[in-house]
Amino acid sequence: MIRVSGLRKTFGEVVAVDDVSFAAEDGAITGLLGPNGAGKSTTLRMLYGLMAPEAGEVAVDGVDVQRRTMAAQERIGALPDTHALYPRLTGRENIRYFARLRGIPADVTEARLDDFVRLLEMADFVDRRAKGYSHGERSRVLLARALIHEPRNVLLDEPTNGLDVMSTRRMRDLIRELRGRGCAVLFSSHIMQEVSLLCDHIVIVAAGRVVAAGSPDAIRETAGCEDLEDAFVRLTGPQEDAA
Amino acid sequence: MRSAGVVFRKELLDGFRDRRAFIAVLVSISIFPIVMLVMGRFAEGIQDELRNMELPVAGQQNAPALVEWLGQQPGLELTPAPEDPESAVRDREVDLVLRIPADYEERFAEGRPAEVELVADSSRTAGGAKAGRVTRLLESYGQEVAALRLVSRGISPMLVRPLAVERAEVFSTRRRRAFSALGFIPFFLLMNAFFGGMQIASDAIAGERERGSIEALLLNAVPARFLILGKWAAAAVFAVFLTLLGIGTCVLVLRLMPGALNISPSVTDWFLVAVTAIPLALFCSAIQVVLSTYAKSYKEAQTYFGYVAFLPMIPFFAVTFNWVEQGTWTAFIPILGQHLMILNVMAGEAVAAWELALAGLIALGAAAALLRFASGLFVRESVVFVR
Repeated sequence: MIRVSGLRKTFGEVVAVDDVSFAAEDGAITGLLGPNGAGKSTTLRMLYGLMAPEAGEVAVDGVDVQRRTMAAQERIGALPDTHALYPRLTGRENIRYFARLRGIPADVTEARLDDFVRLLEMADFVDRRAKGYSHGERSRVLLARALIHEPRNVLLDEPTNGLDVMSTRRMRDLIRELRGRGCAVLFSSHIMQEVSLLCDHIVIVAAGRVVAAGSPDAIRETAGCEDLEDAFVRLTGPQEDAA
Repeated sequence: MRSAGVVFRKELLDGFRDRRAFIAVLVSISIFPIVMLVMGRFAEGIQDELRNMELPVAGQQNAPALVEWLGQQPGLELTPAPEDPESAVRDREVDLVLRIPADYEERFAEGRPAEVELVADSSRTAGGAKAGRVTRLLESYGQEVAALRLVSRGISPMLVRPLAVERAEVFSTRRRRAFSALGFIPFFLLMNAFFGGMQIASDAIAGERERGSIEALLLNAVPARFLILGKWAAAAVFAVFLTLLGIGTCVLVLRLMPGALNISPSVTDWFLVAVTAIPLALFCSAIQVVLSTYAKSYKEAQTYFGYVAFLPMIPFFAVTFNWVEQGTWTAFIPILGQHLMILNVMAGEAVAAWELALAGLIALGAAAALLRFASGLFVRESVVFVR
């Protein structure tokens, strides 16, 4: 599980994240919902230890990310918002590289790789170089790469961004399966429908602050709207369009 | 450390699949033979032309004695001069023209200096060399005439030669050669050491940032120093490989063209050259790593490499134009030291083992410091996320 308390981050004059606190429980899907530029990616970067918060702390399974970054990263599997693979390596080699960096024994890696190839239907392209991958192909390899060490905490930054219907479905199924295995899943999105479909717990951020948090029902109640989308629009204010 | 090995293997594989890396290999091994071949051909061509040259002479009738004397010189054929000597030389119809004015005989007879004119274009190597040969011939003709004039007046020609200057050269022939044309060997090897790892370093570090794959890489609970170490090792392996390939090329060129530099270094010599150059390749790769970490993109890294490309050239010019005194301290400045050591080995001089070892250790120490610096830089927030 992931606990975030009082996170703050500024870039010069701009306050990107301001006093953000929430928790992502084990066996639950938590959605970080907000319009573009709300501070979702910055928050996630502080969660996986690539950015240092100016205030506040993050604990992953009780391990402080700031003080014990490596130990915390061992408990995390993450899909950053830069969806990049190594173009001259095949999909399989891309995944294998990260597995080896994590120190997973080769036979275990190969077994898990076979599972992922089946589960995410990657057989057609996984042995081709990543250079010519379609968006959907790339995102499946990225997902397998982020999960190859079977992390207990999964952080996904806009995982369905730009995916077609089939790929989005596959992604949803996988996220549900991770919950079934008892993982803490935290994913960010600016798409209301997606979050309402999947999440047990929603954290809505706008302009770097948490404006509402709770179950989908609780959020509807807070905003006084029947429809979640209306609630989202009302809560995030007049900043930017969110679908 | 294990993870550094993982990074190393991945970057090597990635590098092998990069066509640009192979182009770099081809270029770096072909430069030296091409330079040697062209230089050799060029020098030979000039020698040939000098040995058997034509000399157009204008006004041959004005100085029959001089013309006759010139005609007796071996490898010199006198020909009629073109109408307008100046424009003929300018238009490169002929390399040079000797012009004898009408008042030659008159001045000669009166004992005044008789002028002759050499029309040449010294911007052309062949023209310059030929003018030099003709000038020397004319001077020796003048000395002969002067000696005869003195003798006819009962004066010994020795009287007008109060000094006889002899030069005792301590700079051995092999060494002199080493410091001229041979300078290309260390220059070429150092270029290979310097640029061998460039491709991998810029792709694996600056390219990693440019593609955005760095973020995912940094999530794997691997300390930055191991990532940098692995990437550097891959670049360094390429640099060392290219350096050794360069040495192989030199051996081959010297064997196939034994006349080109007139030296035949032994196997031990080449071994010493390798021992000198390898630590330098490791050091230079560390420089590339630091520059690539600064660069936001592959192209930016290449630009930075352009800025430091003059580094391996400094020793070449420093030695060629005698900016540095050969002293002990010079041996320990990376790049310059290696250049001088390779030169000394090529010139057949002894190089002390401790000097070699110390120069190597200094290069490695500097490499370690650079890598340490790069590791800190690599994970700096402003470096990872500013794009």
